[in-house]
Amino acid sequence: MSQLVIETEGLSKRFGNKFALDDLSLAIAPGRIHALVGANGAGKSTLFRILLGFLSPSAGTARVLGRDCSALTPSDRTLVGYVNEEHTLPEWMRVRELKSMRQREYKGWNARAFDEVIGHYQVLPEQRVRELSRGERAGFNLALALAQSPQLLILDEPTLGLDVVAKRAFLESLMYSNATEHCTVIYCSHQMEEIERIADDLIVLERGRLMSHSPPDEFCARISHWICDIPFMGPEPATIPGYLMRQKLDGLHHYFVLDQDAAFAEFLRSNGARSANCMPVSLDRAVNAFLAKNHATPTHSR
Amino acid sequence: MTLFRAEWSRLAMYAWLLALAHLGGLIFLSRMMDLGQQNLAVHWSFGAVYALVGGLSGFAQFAIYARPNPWLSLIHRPRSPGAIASSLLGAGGVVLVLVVALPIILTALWQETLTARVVDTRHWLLALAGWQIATCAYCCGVFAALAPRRYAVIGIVLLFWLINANATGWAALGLQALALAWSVWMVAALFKANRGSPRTAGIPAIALPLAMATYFLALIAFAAIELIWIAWGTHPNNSVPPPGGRIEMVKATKQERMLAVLAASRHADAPLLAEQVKLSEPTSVGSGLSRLPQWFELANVRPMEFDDQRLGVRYVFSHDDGQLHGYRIRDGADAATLSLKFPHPPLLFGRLPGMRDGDAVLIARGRVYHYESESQQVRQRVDLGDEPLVSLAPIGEAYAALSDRALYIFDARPFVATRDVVAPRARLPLPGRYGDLSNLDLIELVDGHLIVATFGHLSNDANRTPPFQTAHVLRSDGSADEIGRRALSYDHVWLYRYQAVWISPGLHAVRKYAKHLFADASTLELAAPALAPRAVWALAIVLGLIATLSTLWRLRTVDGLRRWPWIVASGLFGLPMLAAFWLIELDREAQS
Repeated sequence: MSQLVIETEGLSKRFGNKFALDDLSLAIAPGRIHALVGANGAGKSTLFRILLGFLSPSAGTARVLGRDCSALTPSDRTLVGYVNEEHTLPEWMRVRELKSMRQREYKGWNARAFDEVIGHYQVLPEQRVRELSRGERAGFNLALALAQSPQLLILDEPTLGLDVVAKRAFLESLMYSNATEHCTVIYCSHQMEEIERIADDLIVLERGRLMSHSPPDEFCARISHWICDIPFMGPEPATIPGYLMRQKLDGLHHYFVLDQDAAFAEFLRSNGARSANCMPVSLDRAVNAFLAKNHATPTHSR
Repeated sequence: MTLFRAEWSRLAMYAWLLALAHLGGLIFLSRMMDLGQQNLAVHWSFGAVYALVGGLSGFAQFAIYARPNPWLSLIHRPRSPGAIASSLLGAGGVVLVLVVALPIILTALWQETLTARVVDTRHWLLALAGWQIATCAYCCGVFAALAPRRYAVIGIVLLFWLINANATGWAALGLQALALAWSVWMVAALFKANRGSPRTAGIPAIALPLAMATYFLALIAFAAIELIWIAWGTHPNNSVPPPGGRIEMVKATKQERMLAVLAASRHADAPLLAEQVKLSEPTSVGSGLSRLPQWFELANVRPMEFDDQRLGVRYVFSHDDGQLHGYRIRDGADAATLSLKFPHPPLLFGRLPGMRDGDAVLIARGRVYHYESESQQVRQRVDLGDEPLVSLAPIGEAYAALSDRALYIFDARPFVATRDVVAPRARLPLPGRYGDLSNLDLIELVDGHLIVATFGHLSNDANRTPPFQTAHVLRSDGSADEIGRRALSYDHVWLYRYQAVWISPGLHAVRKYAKHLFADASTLELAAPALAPRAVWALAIVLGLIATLSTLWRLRTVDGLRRWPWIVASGLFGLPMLAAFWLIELDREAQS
């Protein structure tokens, strides 16, 4: 049996002429919280749908917990929890009824995990799901998912649309739950401060391809932010080694570059820079710069 | 069970409200009329409403689940898709028991216990029939919600099947059960995590109705062309029809029809008979009936009741005991039950000249009965065995009775003067099949009758005979001579007449088989279809080959297990199956 929680090889998914996933080979080891980031349309949700057997790949293979994704059995599904951004739950049911239904469905029901998470929220058993606030609903959904004792928990943008307080409650309930110690969490989000806070591993997808897979610190370390004073126009992007993004703020040129060391300062000076300073990069800016590199831009600009 | 209970809690309120509305409607209508004695059109209307309620319920219930995230949440649980489907469909089925079946049962119970109306076993079975129709439509609605849009509505083919099928009574219930099972099979084919790719075992459940729907679309396209033709003003039905054709004869007067066949005859008596036709006022015989009442049928060909206005009593036929049960029209109180047990369900044929007020004529297959109001007795007057009579009409001093095989002439006098069984004076076997007969015209001669039969009923249909006319003289002594026979020309080209065949001979055969499945052969529909011209078969073979080769080419890289069933099906069912193949395999192909 494979030791990997998720394993894809040459995975591609095509919709018409567009590739949502393009030759994606990904291996995720058990344990820890793995953050999956990428711009809209990077293929994150498509990947989850293939992993859960709801889409067939156009090419390649995908395995979850060692099982072929296209042949997951009901008992395999017990081991994989999934929380989506809508927190889809039966609106007409009461909290008590839904909890009791899930409890009967999942043999490994972990009541302690449920209570731990739901304790962060003011959810009453007799409330109907439709009566819950968005934050309460997210918390209730997370409690249900963790209480089923999954080996793999996929969270697909679970904090989307939550206010600051609800978002913090959600993250804390996830981080401090003992249930997460025994499972691998795949956390997909556009909120870099969340990822910075909880992720042990960062996976960057772009246009269906795997662009980076490393711990967040290592990822940030690869990206450097240079601020320099160039009296004239800066060097052409095509000539800049490891170029990701540039900005001009208050007359200073800001360059974000990949895998460049101190020698980059010499490059800037050789292109007319009177000063060149390297600044630390936050994960948010690092990911932003990384994803900006291949952003589509109009061919002709005015 | 937990999922079933959860779904039931979602639907319960809606179910109770609809059930109350249905019960209220049935109570109101039962106050206005005897619902058990309504004809087929009324039953169809009820069936259509139940199908609509079922279809919309299924669609509404599953449209919520059909979106990507709810579908994922529904299926991604430690239960097989089959078990999940059983729970949800089971809840929907229980809703329809409450909404459709229970109000019918309660209404029947009320009619049975508190009124003098006849409530037979067949009326109780209407609850089952209504539920099966509604549940079949419900599954079609579920399928519509879950299936890709390009073939979501094909469930309608199953519902059209139920409307068009000839099966009655228990056979109709069996047919509905089969349609219901098929609709469940269709849903099961898609009820899986990846709905874009139906289960291999479920593909026939989708492919055949889809091919049939495509086939019907092709026929509808021909009908649309015909509508344009009519609007253009050159269609034979709406302009001057081609001379010597069937439509010309159908539009002609009785006299013109009789004269046309005599004019084409070389018989020596033809000119003299033509003169007599010109001096006479011809009569037509026919009933327009296409089917006879069957035992325990759920609906009625015609209302199974008649009124004795003299006594103010309405007699209603009971399928359970074969007797006529009376109740007073004024207050609905119980009245006499007539002692005669009918061997077949009878139809009312009004009154004949000379009958007294309140009397009535009833025909039960080959037997004619006379209800006498005065004695409140039913007497048998004609016995033709199992040869079903469809019409009895006075012509001068005689009565003409038409069966599915022959025309009988009876003397009128014994009908009025005696109470005995009357034997026919003369019999003319029909020179064609009853199902092809469009007109039967006759005049009285000095010693018999001149009878002109025109066969061309629906002769634009591939299942009917080439149109023709015959003229016979039937004498009083029972002897008959053919005076003339005339072939009529078709008004449409073979490409139009045989469209149902050459588009797909396979689906044409399936359609015919499905229509008559479980049904007793109705002799009134029997026709003598002509052999299709060779050009029809040549065209059908070419189209079948195109379909087969296209499928073969498209699946050239696919393994045999998936490839050969499609290739064989395309060969059997032609272009409609090719269309079904493209529509179903679009996703699967893209994914492979």
